[in-house]
Amino acid sequence: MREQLRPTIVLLLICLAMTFCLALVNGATVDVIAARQAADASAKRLEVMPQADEFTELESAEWQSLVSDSPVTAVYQAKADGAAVGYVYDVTVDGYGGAVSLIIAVQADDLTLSGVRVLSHQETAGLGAKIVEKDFLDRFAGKGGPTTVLNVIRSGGAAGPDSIEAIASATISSRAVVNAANAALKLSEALVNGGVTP
Amino acid sequence: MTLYRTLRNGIIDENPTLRLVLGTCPTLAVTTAAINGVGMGLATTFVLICSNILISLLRRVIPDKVRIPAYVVIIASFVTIVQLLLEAYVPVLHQSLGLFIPLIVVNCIILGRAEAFASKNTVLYSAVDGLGMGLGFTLALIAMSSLREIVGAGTIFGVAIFGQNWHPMLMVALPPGGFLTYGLLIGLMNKLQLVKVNLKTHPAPALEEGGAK
Amino acid sequence: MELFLTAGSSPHIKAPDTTQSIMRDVLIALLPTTVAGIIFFGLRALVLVLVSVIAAVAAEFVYTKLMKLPMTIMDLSAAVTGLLLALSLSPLVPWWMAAIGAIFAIIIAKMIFGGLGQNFVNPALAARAMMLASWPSQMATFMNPWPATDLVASATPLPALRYGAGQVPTLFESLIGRSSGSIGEVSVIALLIGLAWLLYRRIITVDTPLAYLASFAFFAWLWGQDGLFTGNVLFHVLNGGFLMAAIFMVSDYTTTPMTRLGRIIFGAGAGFLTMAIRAVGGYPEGVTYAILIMNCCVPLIDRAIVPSAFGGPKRQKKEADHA
Repeated sequence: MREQLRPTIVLLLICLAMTFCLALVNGATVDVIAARQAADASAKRLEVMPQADEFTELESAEWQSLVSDSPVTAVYQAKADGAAVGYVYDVTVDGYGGAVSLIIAVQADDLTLSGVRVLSHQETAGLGAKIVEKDFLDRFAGKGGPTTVLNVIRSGGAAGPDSIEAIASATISSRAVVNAANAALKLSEALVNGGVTP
Repeated sequence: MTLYRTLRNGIIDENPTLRLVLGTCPTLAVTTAAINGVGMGLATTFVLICSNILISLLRRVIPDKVRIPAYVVIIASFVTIVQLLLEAYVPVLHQSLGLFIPLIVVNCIILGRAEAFASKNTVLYSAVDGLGMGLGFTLALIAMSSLREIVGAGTIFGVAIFGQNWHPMLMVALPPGGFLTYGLLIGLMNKLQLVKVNLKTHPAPALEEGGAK
Repeated sequence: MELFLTAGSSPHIKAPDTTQSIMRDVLIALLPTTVAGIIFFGLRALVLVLVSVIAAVAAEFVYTKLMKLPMTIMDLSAAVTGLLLALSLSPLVPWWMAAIGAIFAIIIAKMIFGGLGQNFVNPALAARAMMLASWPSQMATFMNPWPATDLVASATPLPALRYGAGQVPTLFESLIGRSSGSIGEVSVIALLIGLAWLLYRRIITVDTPLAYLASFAFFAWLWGQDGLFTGNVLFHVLNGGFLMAAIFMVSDYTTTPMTRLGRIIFGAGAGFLTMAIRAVGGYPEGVTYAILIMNCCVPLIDRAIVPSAFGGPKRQKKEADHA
């Protein structure tokens, strides 16, 4: 009997001791981690909407009925000095190699894009992966406006006011970002017209 | 065996990555940038030293029947501690190493050293063995990740080292490049070892079977 | 000098073929294609060919010297590898990329495995795959052939057909080489002259290329642009790297199976994979990866199909079945 009991008790004690250590470390780091995560998230939103100082997430019921099949996963209202200035969206679209997650900001007054950032992607290194580069994302700033749908043109093609030039040899990845931007623009218009004015 | 021999054994003669070919999964996966190699290597070294010390301390207490579960609990706890600390204080590294931090738990090097060394040796020697093995792992990762970052991205620790006209060989930073670089490094290590043995003109000492099981 | 008498095992057959003479014939067969490439793409093509061949030969020279191996550059196989690699590149690829590719082909894909006869993949194709992964945009930028004026082509024929972007060439244009593409793949006539020379000199047998062609043509027809069984077979055969691969890559001695049945399986598999990648894969052209994948399958094919021993008893499968 003692032969069976001893291993069990030793293992139990080791588990208890290690759990206690983990609890200590967790207690010491949990606040730091939470604070950092929150700071990270709002820093990303601040990057695409620099004039805002406060972001509040909208309840999904407030916007999901306005658009069908939207790739938007979350909507934040951006405010500066208490006055609403625009919306920031979390958007996930299909790229060439898998899902592309983006964060997209739209100005409330003229419904133009304020900024686009890529959070995560699985596009081909050297080609589609260039969607994270500033050079490409800056092509979106200021585009849009009421009822505008952006279109993609091949690299080097003739540009119109509502067209985004694709990255060379990465048209599908470029189109994914443009689709995400269009979804954000469409939802912004619906939000403004739907009475949920910022 | 002296303390120095124990240390040297982990870094060179039984280098876990290049001689014993253990811990290949993190070796192949995280060595795309030099900073990842350093981070992964040091995180593993920390876990290795801590678990070696604790297991050596408890080596007369832990019954033979439950030694593997006991080792796993100890190793997993240290890995979780490293993960929490990294997430709190070095979030950049935590993000780029990602899933591979929790996977340190199943790194064969750690369980291998616990079973083969720490459970049979004194605390001091176990700590030095953990340090040696950890440094051996870290150095191998740094060598491999620097190589892959320089050739595959044209940078070292994020600093560009080639001019504008250089297009880095992306493949080296992609998975196939990981296998190629790893193979070439192991080949180089074997070549050097052979040269050394030939110079001494005596037959190669048989590798101790200690680590790999 | 000491005299060595070696006892070789039977069969004792003497043939005048040496590696050097075979490789010389392959080089001669590649000559029309090379000349056509230089005519259509000008000085750039010539520079790429020279750089690639010189780098390949130099890499083999340096490696054999360093490793104190018998010198093998005179068997010309390194020159063939360098030339094949250059011909499979876009004329717009920078010269130093071609040089790195050629060195990779010789050192990594061939010499590390023990040199000619020991490599398990085609060195030129392995180098091309490495370059595709390393410099995707340079490898995918092509130029229009002479006498066109604009340098950078909008799209090569295969993506033009698949994505509807750019001009799809007529069959006649493909035949003489008026479409954009790699240096060696644009002129069908030049490639066919090379094939005729190889067959005349009995350097290659037709079984693998024919199996490759038959399987490729069937799947090209099956996976048509407008649904099943509507494919334009001639278009797929004449455009892209198919013909060059069918003549010069799948007929490689080292990286294809030993038996005729094995080679036919090899060709059929490569044809399926090439068309599968062209029709539904992530790249417009599938020749490189298809042949590399089949190269890796060669040991399996050879193991499955063991030839009966020369002079040994005939296999008595049928009688065994009856019993």
